[in-house]
Amino acid sequence: MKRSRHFARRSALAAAVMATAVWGGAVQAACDEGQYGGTLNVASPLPLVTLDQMMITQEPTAPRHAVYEQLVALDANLVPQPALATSWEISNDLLTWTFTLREGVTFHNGDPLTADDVVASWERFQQVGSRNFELSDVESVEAIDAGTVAVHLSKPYGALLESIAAMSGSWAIMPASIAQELGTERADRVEHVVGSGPYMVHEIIPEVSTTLRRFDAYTMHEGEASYNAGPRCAYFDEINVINIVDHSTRVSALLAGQVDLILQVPGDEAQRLIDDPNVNIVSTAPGNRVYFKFNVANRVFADYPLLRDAIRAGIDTEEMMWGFGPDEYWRANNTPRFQEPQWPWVDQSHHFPVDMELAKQLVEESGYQGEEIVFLVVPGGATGPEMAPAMDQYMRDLGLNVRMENLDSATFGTVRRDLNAWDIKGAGGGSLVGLAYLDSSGVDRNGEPWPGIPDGWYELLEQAVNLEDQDERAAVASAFYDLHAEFNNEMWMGDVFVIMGARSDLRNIAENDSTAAFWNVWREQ
Amino acid sequence: MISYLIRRLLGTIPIVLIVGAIAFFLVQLSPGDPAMFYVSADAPPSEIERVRERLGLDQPIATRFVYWFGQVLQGDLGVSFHQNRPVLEGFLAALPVTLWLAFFSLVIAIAIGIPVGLFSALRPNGMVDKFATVFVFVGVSMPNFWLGMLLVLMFAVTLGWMPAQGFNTANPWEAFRSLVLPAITLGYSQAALIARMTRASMLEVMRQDYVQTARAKGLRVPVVLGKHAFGNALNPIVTIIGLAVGSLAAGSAVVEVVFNLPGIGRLVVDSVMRRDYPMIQGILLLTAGMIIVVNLITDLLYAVLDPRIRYD
Amino acid sequence: MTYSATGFGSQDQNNAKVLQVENLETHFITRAGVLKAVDGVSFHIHAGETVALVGESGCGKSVTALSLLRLVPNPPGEIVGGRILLDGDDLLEMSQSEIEDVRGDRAAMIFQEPLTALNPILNVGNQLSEVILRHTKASKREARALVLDMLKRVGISDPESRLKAYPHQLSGGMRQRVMIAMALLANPALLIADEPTTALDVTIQAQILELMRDMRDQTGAAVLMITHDLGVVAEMADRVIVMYAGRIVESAPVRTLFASPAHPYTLGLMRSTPNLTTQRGELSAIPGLVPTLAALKDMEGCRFAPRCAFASQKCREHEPPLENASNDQSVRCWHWDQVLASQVAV
Ligand SMILES: Nc1ncnc2c1ncn2[C@@H]1O[C@H](COP(=O)(O)OP(=O)(O)O)[C@@H](O)[C@H]1O
Ligand code: SF4
Ligand SMILES: [Mg+2]
Repeated sequence: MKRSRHFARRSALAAAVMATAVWGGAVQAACDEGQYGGTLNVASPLPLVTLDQMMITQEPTAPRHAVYEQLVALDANLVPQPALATSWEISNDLLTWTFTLREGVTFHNGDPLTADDVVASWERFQQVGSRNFELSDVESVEAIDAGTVAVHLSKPYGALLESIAAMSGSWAIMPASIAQELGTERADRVEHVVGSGPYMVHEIIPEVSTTLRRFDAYTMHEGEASYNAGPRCAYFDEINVINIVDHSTRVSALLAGQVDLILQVPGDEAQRLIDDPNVNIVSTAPGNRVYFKFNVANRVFADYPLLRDAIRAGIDTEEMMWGFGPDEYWRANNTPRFQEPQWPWVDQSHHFPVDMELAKQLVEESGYQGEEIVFLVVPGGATGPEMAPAMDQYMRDLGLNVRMENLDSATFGTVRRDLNAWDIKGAGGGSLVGLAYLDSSGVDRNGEPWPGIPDGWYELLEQAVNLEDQDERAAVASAFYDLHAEFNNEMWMGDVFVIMGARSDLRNIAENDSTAAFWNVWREQ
Repeated sequence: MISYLIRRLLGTIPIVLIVGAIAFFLVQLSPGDPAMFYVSADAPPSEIERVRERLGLDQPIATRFVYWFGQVLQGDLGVSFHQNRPVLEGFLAALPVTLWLAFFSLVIAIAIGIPVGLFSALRPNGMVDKFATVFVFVGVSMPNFWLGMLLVLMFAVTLGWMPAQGFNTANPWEAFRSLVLPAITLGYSQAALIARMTRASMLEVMRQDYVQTARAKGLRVPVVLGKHAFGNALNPIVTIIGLAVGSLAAGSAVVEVVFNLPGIGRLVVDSVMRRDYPMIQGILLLTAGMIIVVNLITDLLYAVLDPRIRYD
Repeated sequence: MTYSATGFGSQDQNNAKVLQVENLETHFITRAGVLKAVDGVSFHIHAGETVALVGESGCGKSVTALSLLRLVPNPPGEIVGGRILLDGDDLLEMSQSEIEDVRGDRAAMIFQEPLTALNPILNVGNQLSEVILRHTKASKREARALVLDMLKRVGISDPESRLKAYPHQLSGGMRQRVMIAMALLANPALLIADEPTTALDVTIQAQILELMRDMRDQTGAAVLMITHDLGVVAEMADRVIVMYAGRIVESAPVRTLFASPAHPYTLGLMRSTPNLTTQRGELSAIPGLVPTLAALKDMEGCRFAPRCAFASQKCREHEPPLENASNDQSVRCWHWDQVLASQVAV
């Protein structure tokens, strides 16, 4: 069975219509507060090998969002806000979404934005878009007139805006000529990377750096600057994105003043930033959610389901989280934080009680015979290796025969799909989870639903999405958590805040954005 | 000599091809799917399959090998998954950094290693020799990355004399400054090895009769050492320097990562991490060829340094 | 030139003593203790005179020779006492730089194994001319001319082309000729030859010896000829010094020594003189082993006593002094008279 969406959202929820004029003044004010000029050097651990917003999903997103824009953009609550589309309407049958395009927008190559560009971009996105599977219900995209685009669906899809606003591998809008010229080619050369964002590409040196320069003909968006949405002032003349893989080197580069802003500082390097008066730590909430996943389809945890409850019963979440360093940089939390307004936030008070006696008793009762339990450690910093030793020890204390496996990310990516190869694994993801998450927590890495999903699981999800009253939705959410806990295929441990480092003369760095969006950052002279 | 050269060069071809074949299977049979890097974490299998197709990974490995090998024989190393440009282009972009780094490291290694070795051989167990022993011991046992981090903390972060990372190509002087700390880091352990070999070789040579003859002629000590002893001691030193070039290639991976230099070493590490098969295979082939050439040069140097050795 | 012509009577000549060695002591400081390789050796050589230094392998001949030019490897070797006067100048008092000026110029050396004694990676011309360049103000061209001339004198044909040759491209005899040329280039007052023919074929040996004789006569140098070949001694030497375990045990004009050796050890050497078929044999026909230098440390009496047919209790308790058996023969033996008498009896 292919993965599918089991719910559709009601129109009223999504129909966010905003008037540009109301926000015009506010935009001006927002962009008056900082000082303009200079070069910002940003260091990222991942190489920015391409800026093609449609294709790659593993790279820093901010530089590409500075260049490209989408019809709608996510704000810090992951709610889609107007971007190149200023408003939209949904037909009564929920099958046609009509977007009104922003007026006066020009691309970096001087072409004005028209509906044809949106359609041509869609056509390219269909061929190469890394996340085009999310939009598989879109039948066609039609240019109604120069300033209007219609998206026709084959069946109602409530999360259309979220999918359009996806942060990577998404439907970025580029000039029709470029989209057609590129086709399935990746946009790697400067002349091919053309968007309508506040910065344009100046130079790309593969594996080394990418230089962006302010796009003077940029058309400002209204609203409040939040995550990927709202006004983007582009205070710096030039942005230099440098690839520094090694964590320690990245920190040294910041301390030495070679770069101004660094992404992803591991907890054990934080002290170096604290000790230096010239740099600040930027701890961005909500950060990454870290959790463990049981293989409920095969092997030990499928054969002895009580063993999953045993592990949950005795686990001390805080102890696990201490692996991430000082507790300023993480929060123990056994439930996810869903985005508003779809789900009420659930705070950290939701903790499993720790009962080691019960855990041991459950191990007894489970019938477990001492079979080997393969524990896959999730590779990469800030999502799991840090708490793996404590987890390993805890399971041993329970008398389980654990074999911990540390794999590199490419190997991990393959092994986790083999449901005969592992029993429990670490996992990580964004702390604010969207609708897609609800769906994905019920399926394995091959897209197959986990066996034994409790009755009512999908009904609850569908219900919750379509409820309008916050209290009602909270009740449904709570019921879903209970079901989730009962099924017990995942154990959420908490959120690890993503630490960035910044020279202390930088201003206006968003505290809720771990992508280090830089277009509203400025330097105090 | 010329015919020898030609024979040797021809002899390298099968070696390079065997290296290529081994590289191909080592790389492609190791676990991990390159497609993982070009899909989102929640991508459905169909999307992964689409990427695998784009990368040519949907073919059976035997087919892929035959195709790749055929292309290699025609001088085409393929297109990098990650960089999306010809492997050779990516390799050549990274090569100068590594060559400059290797060059400066070698200069440092030789400029420090040989004098240290010479002076410690002059008075075995003397003060200089004892210091040299410590120098060598530390050099051989200290991990590259650790020395690199210490140097960065000292000279980049604290003193601010040198850049902490990166290869600044703004002008030659900046480029040179970018390489100072990495070259010291990389050169030090090689300096230690060269010092150790120089000392041993000099001690061996100084026992030889012709050194006594040279002294009996009344030649001054520097002439005895420099002209008569050192010339003869050079052979094993050249060998170790030849090997050092190989170790530099290996060590430069660590140093290039620590100093964030966009050279071959970092490219290898990154390419392995992201399973960029064509790139890894290409680099292995090309570096194997380069190492073979270095060995050839070393062998030819023997003949230049010692008239008793002739290749015909 | 015959052996009689050169000089039984040389001691009577009033030639100045080119070399005078007094009480030379050279020690090796090793883990096993202090080895007295040269233990109170005194002798002299006049200009134009050839003195042979003979003895079994390991008795200290080479160390003595090296000591003369302060070439003993240090560590472990050290000259701990004595005087070495070259034309009256004490070499042991000289600075490093002064002794370097002497080496190869006023005193030169020829080594046993020409293949290893020549630098394998430098051509012959280079190795020869550097002696001249080092010790004279000659230009490179002048040095080259002198070298060519010297190569001709030592009997090397086609010297021009030999200049570019490397040692491994020359025959053994040719190499030794090069060594001799090298030693003679600066016209030394003292020539030290440490077993110059031992490593060569018999026929070549004869040629080299003849060359050395010619050269000595042409240059008038004082020659210290180290050998364990009494045939060589007979052909070359005016006087002979016999060493045993670091000490001189007998010294006499060559004819006296051959006619009437006064030391039992010398007598033993005479009787074991190798013939042509054993030309490379060591002087080891005397029964018993040379005591190791380490063993000598606690030896009280005569060092030869364990192997001596004449040994008495006195010999084992007290070491004999070097005393005159006649006015030109000195010997270190309590019973030299018996030794001489035994030969008369024969
Ligand atoms: N480099 C050295 N280290 C220690 N002992 C040495 C060294 N060279 C010579 N000797 C000692 O000095 C003694 C005399 O050696 P040598 O003069 O070479 O003998 P020979 O009479 O055969 O030339 C040897 O028995 C040896 O024990
Ligand atoms: S002193 Fe005695 S032992 Fe020594 S040589 Fe003379 S007779 Fe022999
Ligand atoms: Mg000897």
